[in-house]
Amino acid sequence: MSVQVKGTKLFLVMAAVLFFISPLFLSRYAIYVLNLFAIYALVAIGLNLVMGYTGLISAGHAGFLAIGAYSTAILTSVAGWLSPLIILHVAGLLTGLIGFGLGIPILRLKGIYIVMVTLAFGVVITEIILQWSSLTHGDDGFRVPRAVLGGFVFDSDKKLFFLIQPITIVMTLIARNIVQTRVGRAFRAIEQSEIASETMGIDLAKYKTKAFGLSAFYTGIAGGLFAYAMTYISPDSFNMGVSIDFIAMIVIGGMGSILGSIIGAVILTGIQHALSELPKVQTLIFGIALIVFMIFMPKGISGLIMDWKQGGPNRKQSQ
Amino acid sequence: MPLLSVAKLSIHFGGLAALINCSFDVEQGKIFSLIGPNGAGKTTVFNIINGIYKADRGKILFDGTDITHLAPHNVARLGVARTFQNIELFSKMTVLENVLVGQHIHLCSGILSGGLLLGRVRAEEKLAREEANNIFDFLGLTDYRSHLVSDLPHGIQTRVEMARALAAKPKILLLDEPAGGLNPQETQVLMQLIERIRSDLKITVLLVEHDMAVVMGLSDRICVLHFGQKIAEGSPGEIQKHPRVTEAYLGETVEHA
Ligand SMILES: Nc1ncnc2c1ncn2[C@@H]1O[C@H](COP(=O)(O)OP(=O)(O)OP(=O)(O)O)[C@@H](O)[C@H]1O
Ligand SMILES: [Mg+2]
Repeated sequence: MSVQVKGTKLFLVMAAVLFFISPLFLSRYAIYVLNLFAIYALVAIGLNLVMGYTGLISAGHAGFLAIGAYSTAILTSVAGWLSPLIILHVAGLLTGLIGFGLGIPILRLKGIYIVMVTLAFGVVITEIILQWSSLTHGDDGFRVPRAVLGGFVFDSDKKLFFLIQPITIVMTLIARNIVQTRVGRAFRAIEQSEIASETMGIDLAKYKTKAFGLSAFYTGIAGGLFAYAMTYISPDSFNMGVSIDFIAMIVIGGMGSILGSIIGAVILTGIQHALSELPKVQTLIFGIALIVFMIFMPKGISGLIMDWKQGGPNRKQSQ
Repeated sequence: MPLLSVAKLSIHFGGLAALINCSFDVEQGKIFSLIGPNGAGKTTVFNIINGIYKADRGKILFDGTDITHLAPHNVARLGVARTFQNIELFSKMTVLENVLVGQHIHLCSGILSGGLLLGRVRAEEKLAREEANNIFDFLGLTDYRSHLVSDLPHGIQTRVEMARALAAKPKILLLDEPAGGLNPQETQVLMQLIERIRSDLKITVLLVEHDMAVVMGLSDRICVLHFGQKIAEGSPGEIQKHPRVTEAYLGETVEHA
Protein backbone atom coordinates (compact mmCIF):
# COMPACT_ATOMS: atom_id res chain seq x y z
CA MET A 1 0.00 0.00 0.00
CA SER A 2 2.55 2.58 1.08
CA VAL A 3 4.88 1.35 -1.65
CA GLN A 4 2.05 1.95 -4.06
CA VAL A 5 1.51 5.48 -2.72
CA LYS A 6 5.23 6.20 -2.97
CA GLY A 7 5.21 4.84 -6.51
CA THR A 8 2.30 7.07 -7.46
CA LYS A 9 3.99 10.11 -5.94
CA LEU A 10 7.24 9.39 -7.73
CA PHE A 11 5.32 8.98 -10.97
CA LEU A 12 3.56 12.29 -10.45
CA VAL A 13 6.79 14.13 -9.71
CA MET A 14 8.44 12.63 -12.78
CA ALA A 15 5.45 13.47 -14.94
CA ALA A 16 5.53 17.05 -13.66
CA VAL A 17 9.26 17.41 -14.35
CA LEU A 18 8.87 15.90 -17.80
CA PHE A 19 5.94 18.20 -18.48
CA PHE A 20 7.85 21.32 -17.54
CA ILE A 21 10.94 20.46 -19.58
CA SER A 22 8.81 19.40 -22.57
CA PRO A 23 8.99 22.84 -24.24
CA LEU A 24 12.70 22.17 -24.73
CA PHE A 25 12.05 19.43 -27.26
CA LEU A 26 8.50 20.08 -28.46
CA SER A 27 7.66 22.00 -31.61
CA ARG A 28 6.31 25.52 -31.42
CA TYR A 29 2.94 24.25 -32.59
CA ALA A 30 2.81 21.46 -30.03
CA ILE A 31 3.51 23.94 -27.24
CA TYR A 32 0.82 26.23 -28.57
CA VAL A 33 -1.67 23.34 -28.50
CA LEU A 34 -0.62 22.38 -24.96
CA ASN A 35 -1.31 25.97 -23.92
CA LEU A 36 -4.76 25.80 -25.48
CA PHE A 37 -5.41 22.51 -23.65
CA ALA A 38 -4.68 24.30 -20.39
CA ILE A 39 -6.81 27.33 -21.24
CA TYR A 40 -9.80 25.22 -22.23
CA ALA A 41 -9.31 23.00 -19.20
CA LEU A 42 -9.86 26.13 -17.09
CA VAL A 43 -12.98 26.99 -19.05
CA ALA A 44 -14.30 23.45 -18.68
CA ILE A 45 -13.61 23.45 -14.94
CA GLY A 46 -15.42 26.77 -14.65
CA LEU A 47 -18.40 25.57 -16.65
CA ASN A 48 -18.48 22.32 -14.73
CA LEU A 49 -18.71 24.17 -11.43
CA VAL A 50 -21.96 25.69 -12.58
CA MET A 51 -23.40 22.87 -14.70
CA GLY A 52 -21.93 19.62 -13.44
CA TYR A 53 -21.71 20.49 -9.78
CA THR A 54 -24.52 22.97 -9.12
CA GLY A 55 -26.87 21.67 -11.81
CA LEU A 56 -27.51 25.02 -13.46
CA ILE A 57 -27.01 25.56 -17.16
CA SER A 58 -24.92 28.03 -19.04
CA ALA A 59 -25.15 28.25 -22.79
CA GLY A 60 -23.24 31.52 -22.84
CA HIS A 61 -19.83 30.82 -21.39
CA ALA A 62 -18.07 32.16 -24.47
CA GLY A 63 -19.39 35.51 -23.21
CA PHE A 64 -17.34 35.16 -20.04
CA LEU A 65 -14.32 34.08 -22.04
CA ALA A 66 -14.75 37.23 -24.14
CA ILE A 67 -15.01 39.51 -21.12
CA GLY A 68 -11.85 38.01 -19.65
CA ALA A 69 -10.02 38.22 -22.97
CA TYR A 70 -11.02 41.78 -23.81
CA SER A 71 -10.45 43.16 -20.34
CA THR A 72 -6.99 41.57 -20.32
CA ALA A 73 -6.23 42.90 -23.79
CA ILE A 74 -7.42 46.42 -22.98
CA LEU A 75 -5.71 46.51 -19.60
CA THR A 76 -2.44 45.28 -21.07
CA SER A 77 -2.57 47.91 -23.78
CA VAL A 78 -3.21 50.80 -21.40
CA ALA A 79 -1.14 49.58 -18.46
CA GLY A 80 1.34 47.13 -19.92
CA TRP A 81 3.76 47.74 -17.07
CA LEU A 82 1.37 45.94 -14.72
CA SER A 83 2.24 42.34 -13.92
CA PRO A 84 0.13 39.94 -16.01
CA LEU A 85 -0.75 38.23 -12.74
CA ILE A 86 -2.45 41.42 -11.58
CA ILE A 87 -4.06 42.02 -14.96
CA LEU A 88 -5.42 38.47 -15.03
CA HIS A 89 -6.75 38.87 -11.52
CA VAL A 90 -8.56 42.06 -12.45
CA ALA A 91 -9.96 40.40 -15.58
CA GLY A 92 -11.02 37.34 -13.59
CA LEU A 93 -12.66 39.38 -10.85
CA LEU A 94 -14.47 41.60 -13.33
CA THR A 95 -15.78 38.55 -15.18
CA GLY A 96 -16.65 36.91 -11.87
CA LEU A 97 -18.62 39.95 -10.82
CA ILE A 98 -20.57 39.91 -14.07
CA GLY A 99 -21.16 36.17 -13.63
CA PHE A 100 -22.41 36.84 -10.13
CA GLY A 101 -24.78 39.43 -11.58
CA LEU A 102 -26.01 37.02 -14.25
CA GLY A 103 -26.63 34.52 -11.46
CA ILE A 104 -29.31 36.77 -9.96
CA PRO A 105 -31.95 36.57 -12.73
CA ILE A 106 -31.14 32.87 -13.04
CA LEU A 107 -32.39 32.32 -9.48
CA ARG A 108 -36.00 32.56 -10.45
CA LEU A 109 -35.66 30.42 -13.54
CA LYS A 110 -35.61 26.74 -14.34
CA GLY A 111 -34.35 24.54 -17.17
CA ILE A 112 -34.97 25.87 -20.65
CA TYR A 113 -35.37 29.46 -19.41
CA ILE A 114 -31.87 29.39 -17.94
CA VAL A 115 -30.61 28.15 -21.30
CA MET A 116 -32.31 31.06 -23.04
CA VAL A 117 -31.09 33.74 -20.67
CA THR A 118 -27.48 32.54 -20.74
CA LEU A 119 -27.59 32.09 -24.51
CA ALA A 120 -28.85 35.64 -24.84
CA PHE A 121 -26.11 36.81 -22.50
CA GLY A 122 -23.45 35.31 -24.78
CA VAL A 123 -24.97 36.98 -27.82
CA VAL A 124 -25.32 40.33 -26.07
CA ILE A 125 -21.67 40.30 -25.00
CA THR A 126 -20.36 39.75 -28.52
CA GLU A 127 -22.76 42.42 -29.75
CA ILE A 128 -21.49 44.90 -27.16
CA ILE A 129 -17.92 44.15 -28.18
CA LEU A 130 -18.84 44.76 -31.83
CA GLN A 131 -20.60 48.04 -31.10
CA TRP A 132 -18.23 49.49 -28.51
CA SER A 133 -15.50 49.84 -31.08
CA SER A 134 -13.81 52.85 -29.44
CA LEU A 135 -12.73 50.44 -26.73
CA THR A 136 -12.65 47.09 -28.50
CA HIS A 137 -11.90 48.01 -32.15
CA GLY A 138 -15.15 46.18 -33.00
CA ASP A 139 -15.05 44.02 -36.08
CA ASP A 140 -11.38 44.76 -36.75
CA GLY A 141 -10.41 42.74 -33.70
CA PHE A 142 -7.88 43.57 -31.04
CA ARG A 143 -4.14 43.08 -31.25
CA VAL A 144 -3.10 42.00 -27.76
CA PRO A 145 0.18 43.44 -26.50
CA ARG A 146 2.68 41.04 -24.97
CA ALA A 147 2.55 40.42 -21.25
CA VAL A 148 5.58 41.67 -19.39
CA LEU A 149 6.57 40.42 -15.94
CA GLY A 150 9.51 42.26 -14.36
CA GLY A 151 11.20 42.91 -17.68
CA PHE A 152 10.54 39.39 -18.98
CA VAL A 153 8.47 39.53 -22.15
CA PHE A 154 6.14 36.61 -22.88
CA ASP A 155 6.65 36.86 -26.62
CA SER A 156 6.56 33.20 -27.64
CA ASP A 157 4.39 30.17 -27.02
CA LYS A 158 7.32 28.60 -25.20
CA LYS A 159 7.53 31.51 -22.78
CA LEU A 160 3.75 31.67 -22.39
CA PHE A 161 3.84 28.00 -21.49
CA PHE A 162 5.44 29.01 -18.19
CA LEU A 163 2.70 31.54 -17.50
CA ILE A 164 -0.29 29.49 -18.62
CA GLN A 165 0.57 26.05 -17.25
CA PRO A 166 1.40 26.99 -13.65
CA ILE A 167 -1.73 29.14 -13.40
CA THR A 168 -3.82 26.28 -14.74
CA ILE A 169 -2.29 23.77 -12.36
CA VAL A 170 -2.78 25.98 -9.32
CA MET A 171 -6.36 26.84 -10.29
CA THR A 172 -7.12 23.17 -10.92
CA LEU A 173 -5.89 22.24 -7.45
CA ILE A 174 -7.92 25.06 -5.94
CA ALA A 175 -11.03 23.88 -7.77
CA ARG A 176 -10.42 20.36 -6.52
CA ASN A 177 -10.21 21.66 -2.95
CA ILE A 178 -13.35 23.75 -3.35
CA VAL A 179 -15.43 20.84 -4.57
CA GLN A 180 -14.23 18.65 -1.72
CA THR A 181 -15.04 21.11 1.05
CA ARG A 182 -18.11 22.91 2.36
CA VAL A 183 -18.91 25.16 -0.61
CA GLY A 184 -18.48 22.40 -3.17
CA ARG A 185 -20.63 20.04 -1.16
CA ALA A 186 -23.31 22.72 -1.05
CA PHE A 187 -23.10 23.06 -4.86
CA ARG A 188 -23.53 19.33 -5.32
CA ALA A 189 -26.31 19.18 -2.76
CA ILE A 190 -28.22 21.87 -4.66
CA GLU A 191 -27.84 19.90 -7.89
CA GLN A 192 -29.37 16.81 -6.29
CA SER A 193 -32.15 18.23 -4.13
CA GLU A 194 -32.89 21.91 -3.71
CA ILE A 195 -35.52 21.26 -1.09
CA ALA A 196 -33.25 19.10 1.05
CA SER A 197 -30.43 21.62 0.63
CA GLU A 198 -32.40 24.58 1.87
CA THR A 199 -33.84 22.68 4.81
CA MET A 200 -30.26 21.78 5.77
CA GLY A 201 -29.43 25.49 5.92
CA ILE A 202 -27.99 26.09 2.47
CA ASP A 203 -28.99 29.49 1.11
CA LEU A 204 -29.89 28.57 -2.47
CA ALA A 205 -29.71 32.11 -3.80
CA LYS A 206 -26.31 32.71 -2.27
CA TYR A 207 -24.76 29.49 -3.50
CA LYS A 208 -26.22 29.62 -7.00
CA THR A 209 -24.90 33.14 -7.54
CA LYS A 210 -21.60 32.11 -5.97
CA ALA A 211 -21.39 29.19 -8.40
CA PHE A 212 -21.98 31.51 -11.34
CA GLY A 213 -19.48 34.04 -10.04
CA LEU A 214 -16.79 31.44 -9.41
CA SER A 215 -17.42 29.81 -12.77
CA ALA A 216 -17.14 33.17 -14.51
CA PHE A 217 -13.93 33.94 -12.61
CA TYR A 218 -12.32 30.74 -13.92
CA THR A 219 -13.53 31.43 -17.43
CA GLY A 220 -12.41 35.06 -17.22
CA ILE A 221 -8.87 34.05 -16.28
CA ALA A 222 -8.95 31.54 -19.12
CA GLY A 223 -10.06 34.38 -21.40
CA GLY A 224 -7.09 36.47 -20.33
CA LEU A 225 -4.68 33.64 -21.03
CA PHE A 226 -6.48 33.06 -24.33
CA ALA A 227 -5.87 36.69 -25.30
CA TYR A 228 -2.14 36.33 -24.56
CA ALA A 229 -1.89 33.01 -26.39
CA MET A 230 -3.76 34.15 -29.50
CA THR A 231 -2.24 37.67 -29.61
CA TYR A 232 -5.28 38.69 -31.66
CA ILE A 233 -8.91 38.44 -30.63
CA SER A 234 -12.14 39.37 -32.38
CA PRO A 235 -15.82 39.02 -31.50
CA ASP A 236 -15.99 36.00 -33.78
CA SER A 237 -13.71 34.03 -31.42
CA PHE A 238 -16.55 34.02 -28.89
CA ASN A 239 -19.65 33.14 -30.86
CA MET A 240 -22.50 30.92 -29.76
CA GLY A 241 -20.90 27.81 -31.25
CA VAL A 242 -17.97 28.26 -28.90
CA SER A 243 -20.32 28.13 -25.91
CA ILE A 244 -21.79 24.89 -27.22
CA ASP A 245 -18.30 23.42 -27.67
CA PHE A 246 -17.68 24.13 -23.99
CA ILE A 247 -20.80 22.21 -23.03
CA ALA A 248 -19.66 19.34 -25.24
CA MET A 249 -16.32 19.35 -23.39
CA ILE A 250 -17.83 18.72 -19.99
CA VAL A 251 -20.48 16.31 -21.20
CA ILE A 252 -17.87 14.20 -22.96
CA GLY A 253 -15.25 14.57 -20.24
CA GLY A 254 -17.61 14.12 -17.34
CA MET A 255 -20.15 16.32 -15.56
CA GLY A 256 -19.27 17.03 -11.97
CA SER A 257 -15.66 16.00 -12.34
CA ILE A 258 -12.50 18.10 -12.38
CA LEU A 259 -10.58 15.33 -14.12
CA GLY A 260 -13.43 15.01 -16.60
CA SER A 261 -13.21 18.74 -17.37
CA ILE A 262 -9.55 18.38 -18.30
CA ILE A 263 -10.13 15.23 -20.34
CA GLY A 264 -13.00 16.86 -22.24
CA ALA A 265 -11.02 20.02 -22.92
CA VAL A 266 -8.04 18.05 -24.22
CA ILE A 267 -10.12 15.75 -26.43
CA LEU A 268 -12.21 18.49 -28.01
CA THR A 269 -9.33 20.88 -28.49
CA GLY A 270 -7.29 17.99 -29.90
CA ILE A 271 -9.98 17.09 -32.42
CA GLN A 272 -10.44 20.74 -33.33
CA HIS A 273 -6.77 21.06 -34.23
CA ALA A 274 -6.51 17.68 -35.90
CA LEU A 275 -9.45 18.58 -38.13
CA SER A 276 -8.80 22.30 -38.44
CA GLU A 277 -9.02 21.97 -42.23
CA LEU A 278 -12.50 20.50 -41.98
CA PRO A 279 -14.57 22.72 -39.68
CA LYS A 280 -17.85 21.21 -40.89
CA VAL A 281 -16.76 17.66 -40.03
CA GLN A 282 -15.64 18.95 -36.65
CA THR A 283 -19.03 20.39 -35.78
CA LEU A 284 -20.65 17.16 -36.92
CA ILE A 285 -18.38 15.03 -34.73
CA PHE A 286 -18.97 17.24 -31.69
CA GLY A 287 -22.71 17.19 -32.21
CA ILE A 288 -22.87 13.42 -32.57
CA ALA A 289 -20.51 12.89 -29.63
CA LEU A 290 -22.62 15.19 -27.47
CA ILE A 291 -25.76 13.21 -28.22
CA VAL A 292 -24.11 9.80 -27.83
CA PHE A 293 -22.56 10.71 -24.50
CA MET A 294 -25.69 12.29 -23.09
CA ILE A 295 -27.71 9.19 -23.89
CA PHE A 296 -25.27 6.34 -23.30
CA MET A 297 -22.57 7.72 -21.03
CA PRO A 298 -24.06 10.53 -18.97
CA LYS A 299 -21.08 10.36 -16.61
CA GLY A 300 -18.68 10.96 -19.47
CA ILE A 301 -15.20 9.58 -19.83
CA SER A 302 -14.24 10.30 -16.23
CA GLY A 303 -17.29 8.27 -15.19
CA LEU A 304 -16.02 5.35 -17.28
CA ILE A 305 -12.62 5.64 -15.63
CA MET A 306 -14.20 5.66 -12.17
CA ASP A 307 -16.34 2.61 -12.97
CA TRP A 308 -13.34 0.81 -14.33
CA LYS A 309 -11.29 1.64 -11.25
CA GLN A 310 -14.00 0.33 -8.97
CA GLY A 311 -14.76 -2.79 -10.96
CA GLY A 312 -11.27 -3.35 -12.36
CA PRO A 313 -8.67 -5.98 -11.47
CA ASN A 314 -7.80 -4.64 -8.02
CA ARG A 315 -11.35 -4.18 -6.87
CA LYS A 316 -11.55 -3.19 -3.26
CA GLN A 317 -14.22 -2.05 -0.86
CA SER A 318 -13.90 1.72 -0.68
CA GLN A 319 -12.50 2.57 2.73
CA MET B 1 -42.88 28.15 27.14
CA PRO B 2 -43.28 25.48 24.44
CA LEU B 3 -40.33 24.93 22.10
CA LEU B 4 -42.60 25.09 19.04
CA SER B 5 -45.88 26.89 18.99
CA VAL B 6 -48.11 26.71 15.93
CA ALA B 7 -50.99 29.16 16.14
CA LYS B 8 -54.06 29.35 13.93
CA LEU B 9 -52.32 28.24 10.79
CA SER B 10 -54.28 28.37 7.55
CA ILE B 11 -53.20 27.74 3.98
CA HIS B 12 -55.01 26.96 0.79
CA PHE B 13 -53.91 25.71 -2.61
CA GLY B 14 -56.25 27.10 -5.22
CA GLY B 15 -59.70 26.24 -3.96
CA LEU B 16 -58.46 23.62 -1.53
CA ALA B 17 -58.14 24.61 2.12
CA ALA B 18 -55.27 22.38 3.20
CA LEU B 19 -55.05 23.78 6.74
CA ILE B 20 -57.72 25.66 8.63
CA ASN B 21 -56.93 27.42 11.89
CA CYS B 22 -54.59 24.71 13.03
CA SER B 23 -52.89 25.20 16.42
CA PHE B 24 -50.72 23.05 18.67
CA ASP B 25 -47.78 23.41 21.04
CA VAL B 26 -44.79 21.10 21.26
CA GLU B 27 -43.07 21.04 24.63
CA GLN B 28 -39.32 20.78 24.92
CA GLY B 29 -38.04 17.20 25.19
CA LYS B 30 -41.28 15.55 24.12
CA ILE B 31 -42.23 13.31 21.24
CA PHE B 32 -45.26 14.95 19.66
CA SER B 33 -47.14 13.21 16.87
CA LEU B 34 -49.27 14.62 14.12
CA ILE B 35 -51.65 12.06 12.66
CA GLY B 36 -54.54 12.03 10.28
CA PRO B 37 -55.76 10.35 7.10
CA ASN B 38 -54.05 10.91 3.73
CA GLY B 39 -54.28 14.50 2.63
CA ALA B 40 -55.08 15.75 6.12
CA GLY B 41 -52.35 18.39 5.90
CA LYS B 42 -49.55 16.86 7.98
CA THR B 43 -46.74 17.33 5.48
CA THR B 44 -48.09 20.79 4.75
CA VAL B 45 -47.56 21.70 8.42
CA PHE B 46 -43.93 20.59 8.10
CA ASN B 47 -43.48 22.58 4.92
CA ILE B 48 -44.82 25.71 6.56
CA ILE B 49 -42.61 25.29 9.62
CA ASN B 50 -39.63 24.88 7.28
CA GLY B 51 -40.54 28.00 5.37
CA ILE B 52 -41.04 26.13 2.11
CA TYR B 53 -44.72 27.11 2.02
CA LYS B 54 -46.01 30.48 3.19
CA ALA B 55 -49.09 30.29 5.38
CA ASP B 56 -52.06 32.50 4.49
CA ARG B 57 -52.66 33.20 8.16
CA GLY B 58 -51.27 32.16 11.49
CA LYS B 59 -48.01 32.29 13.33
CA ILE B 60 -45.20 29.93 14.24
CA LEU B 61 -42.95 30.57 17.20
CA PHE B 62 -39.86 28.46 17.59
CA ASP B 63 -37.63 28.76 20.63
CA GLY B 64 -38.86 32.30 21.22
CA THR B 65 -38.44 33.45 17.62
CA ASP B 66 -41.21 34.17 15.15
CA ILE B 67 -40.27 31.98 12.19
CA THR B 68 -43.50 32.45 10.23
CA HIS B 69 -41.82 34.45 7.48
CA LEU B 70 -38.29 33.10 7.58
CA ALA B 71 -36.62 31.51 4.56
CA PRO B 72 -35.95 27.75 4.86
CA HIS B 73 -32.19 28.09 5.37
CA ASN B 74 -32.72 30.53 8.22
CA VAL B 75 -35.22 28.22 9.89
CA ALA B 76 -32.59 25.49 9.68
CA ARG B 77 -30.04 27.76 11.34
CA LEU B 78 -32.31 28.19 14.33
CA GLY B 79 -32.29 24.46 14.98
CA VAL B 80 -35.01 22.81 12.90
CA ALA B 81 -34.09 19.69 10.91
CA ARG B 82 -36.30 17.23 9.12
CA THR B 83 -36.67 14.12 7.04
CA PHE B 84 -39.00 13.71 4.09
CA GLN B 85 -41.92 11.45 3.33
CA ASN B 86 -40.39 10.57 -0.04
CA ILE B 87 -36.73 10.42 0.85
CA GLU B 88 -34.82 13.49 -0.34
CA LEU B 89 -31.21 12.41 -0.04
CA PHE B 90 -28.27 13.54 -2.15
CA SER B 91 -28.29 10.22 -3.93
CA LYS B 92 -25.12 10.63 -5.99
CA MET B 93 -23.14 11.37 -2.85
CA THR B 94 -21.86 8.95 -0.25
CA VAL B 95 -23.47 8.53 3.14
CA LEU B 96 -20.58 10.46 4.68
CA GLU B 97 -20.94 13.34 2.22
CA ASN B 98 -24.66 13.56 2.96
CA VAL B 99 -23.92 13.90 6.64
CA LEU B 100 -21.22 16.49 5.95
CA VAL B 101 -23.80 18.55 4.07
CA GLY B 102 -25.97 18.12 7.15
CA GLN B 103 -23.26 19.92 9.12
CA HIS B 104 -23.29 22.85 6.68
CA ILE B 105 -24.54 25.43 9.18
CA HIS B 106 -21.86 24.50 11.71
CA LEU B 107 -18.91 24.72 9.32
CA CYS B 108 -17.42 27.97 8.12
CA SER B 109 -15.04 27.45 5.19
CA GLY B 110 -15.75 29.48 2.07
CA ILE B 111 -14.56 29.51 -1.54
CA LEU B 112 -11.19 31.02 -0.73
CA SER B 113 -10.35 29.29 2.53
CA GLY B 114 -11.65 25.98 1.19
CA GLY B 115 -9.91 26.40 -2.14
CA LEU B 116 -6.58 27.08 -0.45
CA LEU B 117 -7.27 24.31 2.09
CA LEU B 118 -6.07 26.52 4.92
CA GLY B 119 -5.07 24.90 8.19
CA ARG B 120 -8.32 25.76 9.87
CA VAL B 121 -10.27 24.22 7.02
CA ARG B 122 -8.32 20.97 7.34
CA ALA B 123 -9.02 20.95 11.07
CA GLU B 124 -12.69 21.69 10.51
CA GLU B 125 -13.02 18.93 7.90
CA LYS B 126 -11.33 16.44 10.19
CA LEU B 127 -13.58 17.35 13.09
CA ALA B 128 -16.64 17.14 10.84
CA ARG B 129 -15.69 13.57 9.91
CA GLU B 130 -15.25 12.63 13.55
CA GLU B 131 -18.68 14.02 14.34
CA ALA B 132 -20.11 12.12 11.40
CA ASN B 133 -18.57 8.93 12.74
CA ASN B 134 -20.27 9.50 16.09
CA ILE B 135 -23.59 9.82 14.32
CA PHE B 136 -22.90 6.64 12.32
CA ASP B 137 -22.16 4.80 15.57
CA PHE B 138 -25.36 6.08 17.09
CA LEU B 139 -27.51 5.06 14.12
CA GLY B 140 -25.63 1.89 13.22
CA LEU B 141 -24.51 3.23 9.85
CA THR B 142 -20.77 2.80 10.23
CA ASP B 143 -20.58 0.02 7.63
CA TYR B 144 -22.27 2.21 5.05
CA ARG B 145 -20.33 5.44 5.40
CA SER B 146 -18.55 5.19 2.04
CA HIS B 147 -21.48 3.81 0.09
CA LEU B 148 -23.30 5.84 -2.50
CA VAL B 149 -26.77 6.53 -1.19
CA SER B 150 -28.37 5.32 -4.42
CA ASP B 151 -26.84 1.86 -3.82
CA LEU B 152 -28.53 1.45 -0.43
CA PRO B 153 -31.85 -0.23 0.39
CA HIS B 154 -34.79 1.90 1.45
CA GLY B 155 -34.54 1.00 5.14
CA ILE B 156 -30.94 2.20 5.34
CA GLN B 157 -31.72 5.35 3.36
CA THR B 158 -34.33 6.28 5.96
CA ARG B 159 -31.62 6.13 8.60
CA VAL B 160 -29.17 8.09 6.44
CA GLU B 161 -31.75 10.84 6.21
CA MET B 162 -32.03 10.85 9.99
CA ALA B 163 -28.23 10.96 10.22
CA ARG B 164 -28.10 13.97 7.94
CA ALA B 165 -30.74 15.74 9.99
CA LEU B 166 -28.98 14.94 13.28
CA ALA B 167 -25.72 16.28 11.84
CA ALA B 168 -27.28 19.74 11.98
CA LYS B 169 -27.57 19.33 15.78
CA PRO B 170 -31.17 20.48 15.73
CA LYS B 171 -33.29 21.42 18.72
CA ILE B 172 -36.27 19.84 17.04
CA LEU B 173 -36.40 17.00 14.54
CA LEU B 174 -39.37 16.70 12.19
CA LEU B 175 -39.87 13.15 10.95
CA ASP B 176 -42.32 12.64 8.09
CA GLU B 177 -43.48 9.01 8.04
CA PRO B 178 -40.13 7.48 8.98
CA ALA B 179 -41.68 4.00 9.24
CA GLY B 180 -43.12 4.14 5.72
CA GLY B 181 -41.92 1.14 3.72
CA LEU B 182 -40.09 -0.47 6.65
CA ASN B 183 -40.55 -4.10 7.66
CA PRO B 184 -41.56 -4.96 11.26
CA GLN B 185 -37.97 -5.48 12.49
CA GLU B 186 -36.80 -2.23 10.91
CA THR B 187 -39.76 -0.47 12.47
CA GLN B 188 -38.77 -1.83 15.86
CA VAL B 189 -35.23 -0.52 15.45
CA LEU B 190 -36.58 2.83 14.29
CA MET B 191 -38.75 3.17 17.37
CA GLN B 192 -35.77 2.57 19.63
CA LEU B 193 -33.77 5.13 17.68
CA ILE B 194 -36.42 7.82 17.97
CA GLU B 195 -36.70 7.16 21.69
CA ARG B 196 -32.91 7.49 22.03
CA ILE B 197 -32.85 10.67 19.97
CA ARG B 198 -35.12 12.17 22.57
CA SER B 199 -33.56 10.63 25.67
CA ASP B 200 -29.82 10.54 24.76
CA LEU B 201 -29.54 13.49 22.39
CA LYS B 202 -32.23 15.58 24.13
CA ILE B 203 -33.82 16.50 20.84
CA THR B 204 -37.54 17.24 20.70
CA VAL B 205 -39.33 15.19 18.04
CA LEU B 206 -42.31 16.14 15.91
CA LEU B 207 -43.48 12.96 14.26
CA VAL B 208 -45.86 12.31 11.38
CA GLU B 209 -46.65 8.63 11.09
CA HIS B 210 -49.36 6.32 9.81
CA ASP B 211 -48.19 3.25 11.72
CA MET B 212 -50.36 3.48 14.85
CA ALA B 213 -48.17 1.09 16.81
CA VAL B 214 -45.29 3.51 16.37
CA VAL B 215 -47.39 6.56 17.18
CA MET B 216 -49.03 5.06 20.27
CA GLY B 217 -45.82 3.48 21.47
CA LEU B 218 -43.68 6.62 21.25
CA SER B 219 -45.79 9.73 21.60
CA ASP B 220 -46.17 11.86 24.67
CA ARG B 221 -48.87 13.77 22.93
CA ILE B 222 -50.82 13.43 19.69
CA CYS B 223 -52.62 15.93 17.53
CA VAL B 224 -55.15 14.64 14.99
CA LEU B 225 -55.78 16.46 11.72
CA HIS B 226 -58.69 15.79 9.42
CA PHE B 227 -59.15 17.73 6.16
CA GLY B 228 -56.88 20.44 7.47
CA GLN B 229 -58.60 20.85 10.78
CA LYS B 230 -57.51 19.74 14.19
CA ILE B 231 -60.13 17.39 15.56
CA ALA B 232 -58.41 16.16 18.69
CA GLU B 233 -55.32 16.46 20.83
CA GLY B 234 -54.22 14.49 23.86
CA SER B 235 -52.23 11.61 25.24
CA PRO B 236 -52.18 8.31 23.30
CA GLY B 237 -54.77 6.91 25.72
CA GLU B 238 -57.10 9.87 25.19
CA ILE B 239 -56.73 9.79 21.43
CA GLN B 240 -57.50 6.08 21.20
CA LYS B 241 -60.80 6.63 23.01
CA HIS B 242 -61.72 9.77 21.13
CA PRO B 243 -64.92 9.19 19.11
CA ARG B 244 -64.11 11.68 16.34
CA VAL B 245 -60.73 10.10 15.72
CA THR B 246 -62.07 6.59 15.10
CA GLU B 247 -64.72 8.17 12.91
CA ALA B 248 -62.16 10.12 10.88
CA TYR B 249 -60.17 7.02 10.21
CA LEU B 250 -63.34 5.39 8.80
CA GLY B 251 -63.02 1.91 10.11
CA GLU B 252 -59.25 2.00 10.20
CA THR B 253 -58.68 0.57 13.67
CA VAL B 254 -56.82 2.88 15.98
CA GLU B 255 -55.45 0.61 18.61
CA HIS B 256 -52.30 -0.25 20.38
CA ALA B 257 -50.65 -3.15 18.56
N1 LIG C 1 -47.88 22.30 -3.28
C1 LIG C 1 -49.18 21.93 -3.27
N2 LIG C 1 -50.00 22.31 -4.27
C2 LIG C 1 -51.30 21.95 -4.28
N3 LIG C 1 -51.87 21.19 -3.34
C3 LIG C 1 -51.11 20.75 -2.33
C4 LIG C 1 -49.72 21.09 -2.24
N4 LIG C 1 -49.20 20.52 -1.12
C5 LIG C 1 -50.23 19.86 -0.55
N5 LIG C 1 -51.37 19.99 -1.26
C6 LIG C 1 -52.66 19.43 -0.90
O1 LIG C 1 -52.92 19.71 0.44
C7 LIG C 1 -53.55 18.63 1.06
C8 LIG C 1 -52.72 18.19 2.25
O2 LIG C 1 -51.54 17.57 1.77
P1 LIG C 1 -50.42 16.97 2.71
O3 LIG C 1 -49.32 16.52 1.84
O4 LIG C 1 -50.10 17.94 3.77
O5 LIG C 1 -51.17 15.71 3.34
P2 LIG C 1 -50.63 14.66 4.37
O6 LIG C 1 -51.44 14.76 5.58
O7 LIG C 1 -49.16 14.77 4.52
O8 LIG C 1 -51.01 13.33 3.61
P3 LIG C 1 -50.22 11.94 3.47
O9 LIG C 1 -50.55 11.16 4.67
O10 LIG C 1 -50.80 11.33 2.23
O11 LIG C 1 -48.78 12.26 3.35
C9 LIG C 1 -53.70 17.54 0.02
O12 LIG C 1 -55.00 17.60 -0.50
C10 LIG C 1 -52.68 17.91 -1.02
O13 LIG C 1 -53.09 17.49 -2.29
MG1 LIG D 1 -47.57 13.68 3.99
